[in-house]
Amino acid sequence: MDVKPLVVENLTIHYYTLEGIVKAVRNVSFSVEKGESVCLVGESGSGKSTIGLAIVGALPGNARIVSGRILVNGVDVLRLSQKELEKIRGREVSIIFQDPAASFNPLFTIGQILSDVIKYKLNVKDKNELRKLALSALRMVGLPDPERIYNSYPHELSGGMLQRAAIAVALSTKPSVLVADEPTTMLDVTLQAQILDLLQDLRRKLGLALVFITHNLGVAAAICDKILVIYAGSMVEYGPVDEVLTSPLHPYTKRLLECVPRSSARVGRLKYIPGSLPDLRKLPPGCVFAPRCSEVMEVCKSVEPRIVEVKPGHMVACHKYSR
Amino acid sequence: MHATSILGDNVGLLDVIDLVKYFPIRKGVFGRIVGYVRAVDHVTFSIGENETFALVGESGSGKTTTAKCILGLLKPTSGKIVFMGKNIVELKGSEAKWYRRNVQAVFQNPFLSLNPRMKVEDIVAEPLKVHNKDLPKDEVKKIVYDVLERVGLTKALAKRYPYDLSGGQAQRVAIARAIVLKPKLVVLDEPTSALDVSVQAQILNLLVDLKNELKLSYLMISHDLSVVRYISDWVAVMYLGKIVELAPTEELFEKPLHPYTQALLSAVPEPDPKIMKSKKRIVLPGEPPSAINPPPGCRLHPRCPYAKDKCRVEEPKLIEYERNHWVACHLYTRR
Ligand SMILES: Nc1ncnc2c1ncn2[C@@H]1O[C@H](COP(=O)(O)OP(=O)(O)O)[C@@H](O)[C@H]1O
Ligand SMILES: Nc1ncnc2c1ncn2[C@@H]1O[C@H](COP(=O)(O)OP(=O)(O)O)[C@@H](O)[C@H]1O
Ligand SMILES: [Mg+2]
Ligand SMILES: [Mg+2]
Repeated sequence: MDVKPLVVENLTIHYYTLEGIVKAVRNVSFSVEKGESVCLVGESGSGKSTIGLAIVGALPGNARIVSGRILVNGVDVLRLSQKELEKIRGREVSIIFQDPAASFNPLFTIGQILSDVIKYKLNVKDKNELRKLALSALRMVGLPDPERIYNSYPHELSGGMLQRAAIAVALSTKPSVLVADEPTTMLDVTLQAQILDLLQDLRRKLGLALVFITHNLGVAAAICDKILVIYAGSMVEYGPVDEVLTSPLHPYTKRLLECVPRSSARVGRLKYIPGSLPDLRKLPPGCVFAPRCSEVMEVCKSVEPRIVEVKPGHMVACHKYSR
Repeated sequence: MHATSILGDNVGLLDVIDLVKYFPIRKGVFGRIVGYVRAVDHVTFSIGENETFALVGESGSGKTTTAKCILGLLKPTSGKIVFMGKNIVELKGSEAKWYRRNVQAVFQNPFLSLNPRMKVEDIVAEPLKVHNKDLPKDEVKKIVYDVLERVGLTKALAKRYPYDLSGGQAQRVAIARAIVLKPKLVVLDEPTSALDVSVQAQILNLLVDLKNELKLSYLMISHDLSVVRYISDWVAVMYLGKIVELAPTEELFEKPLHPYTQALLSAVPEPDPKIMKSKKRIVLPGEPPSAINPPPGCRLHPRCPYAKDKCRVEEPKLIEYERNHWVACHLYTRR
């Protein structure tokens, strides 16, 4: 059997702060096949970026991975030495972010940055070879006139072009896993559609395992095969995108979908979720969503629900479904 | 109904007539003008009483510049902005004050628009103090607390500073400050773009309720078409400083005429896999060109799948193609 490019098992991550321990991610598990895309969906502060950073080994210093495993092509990256990790990071796993400008050094041209990554990660020394690889990476992401882009500085490119360039850098080392953290959030819808198309196209062509992070359920519908809904660091629902979006099981997923205005039809009054996210330093006992849940039962207030498979491949963490 | 008013039928609450705003681009030590950013280029629309009029379009299309001209924060290069029959560009003294009192604004980032050194209650009281100097202190306090309650903020929050608020709470404070003088028009520039969907829903509902209760009109600026469909009565679509289509909301969403509107609508992702699969995508290649040297003819022509020779040379006029449905595109000729 093929080894999955990415397996995340029971991942729990805390941040240590002066005000206490932020339990940002608790017991999250999912896996991504070759050519598959899995979306992590949740509101801001739910722990999506923390998971993404953990996968690429780039968590900030005050973060502790308390438990769990992250297997990249079968290797547990959490058990690797710094040196071994360096080999995997940016090579077998890459990441792109919301603001591409932030990940480019403004003093270097796109070509210099790209060549540097390829030189360092793929150990290519020959100058001509480097240039060829860099240009082909730029071509792959659909940038017009790669020669000109190669010689451009980041600030000379528009937001859409810069995000394409960031994708080129991320994929130049031919990784098997790409983490995309809200890569279209800063872009206008028509550019967003272009970038989503590009990522779809590339993951099919290259057999990429794509972890796509977004707060936008519409974007999730557009890009992913499976969807993992997170609330306050806990996974509440996980399953095929069609199922989760058309027959959601968890009350949080249901409510979240009712909050979203639609461009396809005029909706009546929007529903909303009363209350706000819990303080991750002082989590309530029981289900994290219980204080805001309209279907709350007595048991929810004291016992944390386990995630159970309700239909094949469709899992939910909610007492309504546990027998 | 009111859209025809731009041609002289009847006046709306606010009429923007042939508005132009160019920003000069200067170079060198003498600040020689070497060109212009044509941010708003002959824009005409009208907002009726108790109506929500939306301006949509991608970033850089001129929405905020239009709003700033209306708010008197920018001086138009040319054109008129007529509020209740008065051209606001020429207003002075007490009339200017009357205008400022009646036209308020809420912006995308409340943390940037609320004074960080003032308590919530003082932020909301400030417009009252400026416009109503003789109001007794306890009266001010009563009004402020009533308004805070109306926008869903508790008494305890009144003593806090903006940095102590969540994004949703801060936006409620901004809304409270905007309505405390009982204005006629509120300009909403991307009021929910920085918020999570569950919070966005609360703010949108609040805006709808306030509009009905206080008989407000809104100029709603957004790049989010789903939000626009939910909240507005009329929609104008802008592209590179021009209105390319204008219609009642349902009409525009159900029967978009302009290729740009069609592309924009087709690109909106919806959390419904069935719709996403059946959606016919109209892809516009590339990105909007700069507003410094906009393309000649129709500004969309370099990206338009239907562009003909005429589109490259002749600028299409905004015509009323169907009753109340205006479009600027050579595919449509007045019938
Ligand atoms: N370096 C950090 N130190 C302390 N807390 C952090 C740090 N980074 C993130 N957090 C907290 O962890 C939680 C999850 O954050 P994040 O993963 O960024 O969420 P998301 O990407 O879903 O918005 C939030 O409560 C956030 O404030
Ligand atoms: N103060 C300014 N000086 C020069 N150019 C400006 C200024 N403000 C806006 N612009 C330009 O005007 C155009 C329209 O901008 P804006 O009205 O902010 O668009 P939108 O709100 O639709 O994103 C853009 O090209 C922008 O760069
Ligand atoms: Mg994030
Ligand atoms: Mg703007």
